Amino acid sequence: MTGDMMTQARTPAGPAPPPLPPLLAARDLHAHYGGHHVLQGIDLDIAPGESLALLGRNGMGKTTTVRTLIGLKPASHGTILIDGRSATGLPPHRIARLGVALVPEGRGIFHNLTVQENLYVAARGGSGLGHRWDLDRVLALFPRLAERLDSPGTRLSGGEQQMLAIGRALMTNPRLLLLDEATEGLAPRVRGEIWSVIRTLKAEGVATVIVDKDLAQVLETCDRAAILVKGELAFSGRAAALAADRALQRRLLGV
Amino acid sequence: MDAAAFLVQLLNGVQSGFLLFLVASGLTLVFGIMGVINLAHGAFYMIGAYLAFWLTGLTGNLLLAVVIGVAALAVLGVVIERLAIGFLYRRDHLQQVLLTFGLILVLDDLQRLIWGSDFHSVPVPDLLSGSVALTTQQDYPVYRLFVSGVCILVALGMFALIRHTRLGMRIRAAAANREMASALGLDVGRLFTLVFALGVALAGFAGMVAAPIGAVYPGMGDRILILAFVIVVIGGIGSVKGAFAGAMLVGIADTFGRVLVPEVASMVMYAVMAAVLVWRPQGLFGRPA
Ligand SMILES: Nc1ncnc2c1ncn2[C@@H]1O[C@H](COP(=O)(O)OP(=O)(O)OP(=O)(O)O)[C@@H](O)[C@H]1O
Ligand SMILES: [Mg+2]
Repeated sequence: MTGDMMTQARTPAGPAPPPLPPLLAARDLHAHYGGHHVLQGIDLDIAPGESLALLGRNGMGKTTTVRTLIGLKPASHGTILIDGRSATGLPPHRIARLGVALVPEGRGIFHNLTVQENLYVAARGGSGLGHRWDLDRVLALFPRLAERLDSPGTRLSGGEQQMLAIGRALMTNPRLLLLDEATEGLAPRVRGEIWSVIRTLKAEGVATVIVDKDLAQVLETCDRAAILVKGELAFSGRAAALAADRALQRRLLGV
Repeated sequence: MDAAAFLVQLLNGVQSGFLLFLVASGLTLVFGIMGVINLAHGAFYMIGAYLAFWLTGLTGNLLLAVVIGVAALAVLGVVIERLAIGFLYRRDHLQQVLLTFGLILVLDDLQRLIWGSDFHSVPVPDLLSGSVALTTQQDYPVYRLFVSGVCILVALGMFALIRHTRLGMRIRAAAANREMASALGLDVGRLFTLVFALGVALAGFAGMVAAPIGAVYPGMGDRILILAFVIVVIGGIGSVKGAFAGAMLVGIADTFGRVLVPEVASMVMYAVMAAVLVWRPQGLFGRPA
């Protein structure tokens, strides 16, 4: 490593090192529900540690995109690469073990498991990013869960369930976290907590794909943004650029 | 019936309840977790009994026969899940019933091909062949007590596995939300294979330890299957606790029915089931639909 850097330092005019392959890349993704063509050729690149806001009006295909990325919804066409290697058609558990984790719409808490069991059930070492997520660190992030470790997962408020879903995903030590409807239905104060946790994760180098209705927050938090319109990407670029372009927001998001 | 005779029947009923629990728990797990109605479950009980007969003949040792037999049945369970049952998840119940009924026919034919249609008996191991005195008048066979004891251990082991191990946690998670479990990196297919093999091994184990008590004969799994279904319905579909309560109820009711009202004995357990369902339509420990 050091040797490489020194070589580069000595030959500043030499060719630039090849860029790292994106953590996750999707090319020309298509998905169908029956005869309904829901994703019509999506291209996405997510670099290590990068955060992407995935936006679009209701029913435009955000959830379907997220589900396709983790393999829950097999793409009917197109490829998915993780670290430059094909992950197309892999079952979800194989994709998850490559370092992808999901916080789904509706949270997906295991109702017959306690809070602690929900956290432990899929715990894995893993990414090698920063320091490892374990029960102590997750509880430090979400102190409210510590008081509820032995209660059934569903006897929690919506906000606590979302914290549990995020904590559970972190226990797999992912490099990429997919958050569908990150703060939907939560009280304003709890939303604030979730956003601050997302910023913490970002600082730790966890890449994120975030779907959320709070445009201002999600654009402020993310590096890049993509807007889906009827299953196609109508915008893909820097989050700050979108935040500054009210006309574009109005046209593509109706806000 | 005097007190001693009553005690004997009660012990018989409890012992039969324990055996039934081992069979019914596999059935209820496979249904509760994978959503598959497995009509072939009783056939595994029968195969277990035949393995006990055959392997005891070969090795001269029931314990060794049980160890080898359980391992063989677990492997059979894995193979059958991979080749057949795995295709039934998320299929409708008619397809499940057709395929698993077909499995009964295949397993019955295999049994006849290998072991013929004669009745067989398996000797009680020497060490356990004695009796203990319940009262001055009444003896009780040690082997039956032994069976109850072994079943208690297996049942406790199973509860511990499901409640207190990482594997059990994962099985429960996969049962609750298959998609979410797989999106977190759990290989749900492998968990299901394991659960099915566990169910097969439990049913076969019950058949093996029951073999020295009754006869080993073709089609002996059919009656057990029906009893197991009655138990699963009484206990609440998918509930292992319910299977335990149901098995005890059915074991005891069936045993006393045969002694007290032999003419209508076969109806007693259905009467029990009807009574329970009137009181709790979802079964004793079932979640309301
Ligand atoms: N299971 C399904 N079966 C059939 N059609 C579906 C299914 N799930 C989604 N769809 C359709 O696919 C399209 C995209 O849905 P998707 O859930 O991906 O949208 P979304 O952008 O996440 O919407 P929302 O903002 O409401 O969450 C919609 O038209 C929806 O009706
Ligand atoms: Mg959605």
